Formats: sequence, structure tokens, C-alpha cells
Amino acid sequence: MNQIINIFKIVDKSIYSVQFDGKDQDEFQSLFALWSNPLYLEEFFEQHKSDLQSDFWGNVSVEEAVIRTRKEAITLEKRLIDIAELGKRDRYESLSNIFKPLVNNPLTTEQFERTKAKGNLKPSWLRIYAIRADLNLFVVSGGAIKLTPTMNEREHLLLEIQKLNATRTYLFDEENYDSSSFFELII
Amino acid sequence: MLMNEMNKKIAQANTSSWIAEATQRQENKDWLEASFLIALKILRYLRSNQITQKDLAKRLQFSPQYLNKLLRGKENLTLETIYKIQNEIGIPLIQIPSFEYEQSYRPSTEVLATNVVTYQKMQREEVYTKSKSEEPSNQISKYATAA
Repeated sequence: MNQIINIFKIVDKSIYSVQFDGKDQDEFQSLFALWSNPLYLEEFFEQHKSDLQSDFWGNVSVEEAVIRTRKEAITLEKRLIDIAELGKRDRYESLSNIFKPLVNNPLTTEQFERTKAKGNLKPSWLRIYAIRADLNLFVVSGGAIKLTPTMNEREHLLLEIQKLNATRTYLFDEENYDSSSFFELII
Repeated sequence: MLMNEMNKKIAQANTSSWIAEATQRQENKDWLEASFLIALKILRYLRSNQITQKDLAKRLQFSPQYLNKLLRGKENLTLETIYKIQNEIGIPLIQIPSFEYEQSYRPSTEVLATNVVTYQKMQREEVYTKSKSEEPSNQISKYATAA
């Protein structure tokens, strides 16, 4: 499942996305298709109703969650594209403003950092996961609806960690990785 | 400098077909939202009544494939289809607002007054233009009196 078979350009020199074996779309495309699909969302929130009706989320109904997810996905999709385009003109406005480190540990710095982008609501349950390849260059490995405090508590979130790691390995296999070559690519 | 095999893959990446889908979502956002909400209503009906998609498709004389497509919220539904489903499941899916006769046919005093002033001004300008083109310039004082 976690074998990457292709990579696609979402926004030139800013956002790329991998495609896994067995999937007919890249992860970025697949995410926004799922987040606008009521059949998928209704089933997902019905399965995770207990997480949704927790104190943290404030007893949100399935219907409300489905509608909220779609609206938030539309906003996130537009925001990502706007920032990606802006980042090409203004070096201080980049995707780094939206993709934050997955692990908040100031003592360690990951090379080819695993990152997450959140939806615009506070709090938000939408996540896009990506490997940061350069200041304004991200390779999306997947995404999810995260209703629990950590990623370790649910199968679909554990899978996203595996996909992040698989993407990093695919891109930056240490044996093959030539640090100078990547900059050649993005200039 | 040589690029490694992985970086070559990125450099040669084809454009995702996401952009076409995102554009389509943006251009059709109004009816797509309606389609999404109708699909959600039907899905909740199916779940709360423990009815399968297959059973509903049969009742509606739809193919199961068509109903499934409709439930993905991407179908540009006709009024005929919407009412057919609505009548079958007994849940309102679409509502047309009632006509508000009072508001439509009796503009408020404020709006009415603005319209009268604008109309009077238009009339004056029309007279002025005619006077200017048809009469010698010394006749303009006549307009001032008339206005």
C-alpha cells in the first residue's frame, strides 16, 4: 500500500504530491475529492461519532461535521494555492506559513521535515501532511480528519505517519541523495 | 552536477489533474453545494431508516450506479429528479421562497422618493438637451423658468 508509484506537480516549484500504489489519483487530488464527497464524509463521521461528540469538539452532529468539513476544505484549498503563488513573488510569504512541523520539539530538527497544514477554523480537524523539501517546496504525502489529540490513537492517522515516512524515503533516500542536486532542480 | 533518480522524477512530474477539478468546483460552486446538501439529506434518511442504496434505487427506478453517483454530490440534478426523490422519501429537499407581495409591489416611501427625484432630474435634463439643440442659446433662460 505504501509504495509510491508516481509524483505530480500541483503548483510549479511549490507543491507536489505523491501517488501510492492502488490509488488512481495523487494524494492531494484525492484529499479534496474526498472532502467534497458527502458519501465518504457521512460514513467517516458516523464511524467516528464518539470522537466527534467529545468535550473537545462540543458534541458536533454528523450533519454539521460533514458540512463544516466541506466548507473548510474549500477555504484551505484556496488558501494553499494563494500562498503558493504569493511565495514565488515574495520570499517572506511562503508555504512555511501554513505547513508547520509535525513534531513540536525545539531540541530536534528533522532533515526533510514532516509537516502538517491545518484548516482555517480554530480548532480544525483537517490535516494535510507533507515533506518539506525546501523553504517553499512541499511534497504532499496525504491528509486526514484528525479528531483525537494524537495521531497514535486511530488507524487512519497511523497510516498517515507511514505515508509521510514513505514519502521522505522515496524522495530523499540517503544512499542516492545528492544534496546539491535538489537545488539544481528548484532554481 | 548529476541529479539523482528521485529528483529527476520530481523535475519531470506531470501536472496533477487536481487543477481541473478545483476549477470545476469553483466554477460550479453554487449548484455543487446544493447537490452536496441534497445527497447528505438522502444519506441521513437511508441511515436513520436502515434502507440500503440498492432498495432506494429500486423504489425510484434508478440504477444503483446512478443513485451512488448522485450520493457523491457531483450530480447536476434536474427538478424532476429532485421532486421524484422528495416524494418517495417524504423529506423536503428543495424549497422555493414564497413571493413577498407587500415588498415587491409597494416600494418603501424612501425608495419611492428617490425614484421620483431621479425621474424629475432626468426629465429636466431631457428638456435642457432639447432646448440646447433646437433653440438659440438665448432661449435657455426659458428652461430655467420651466424647471
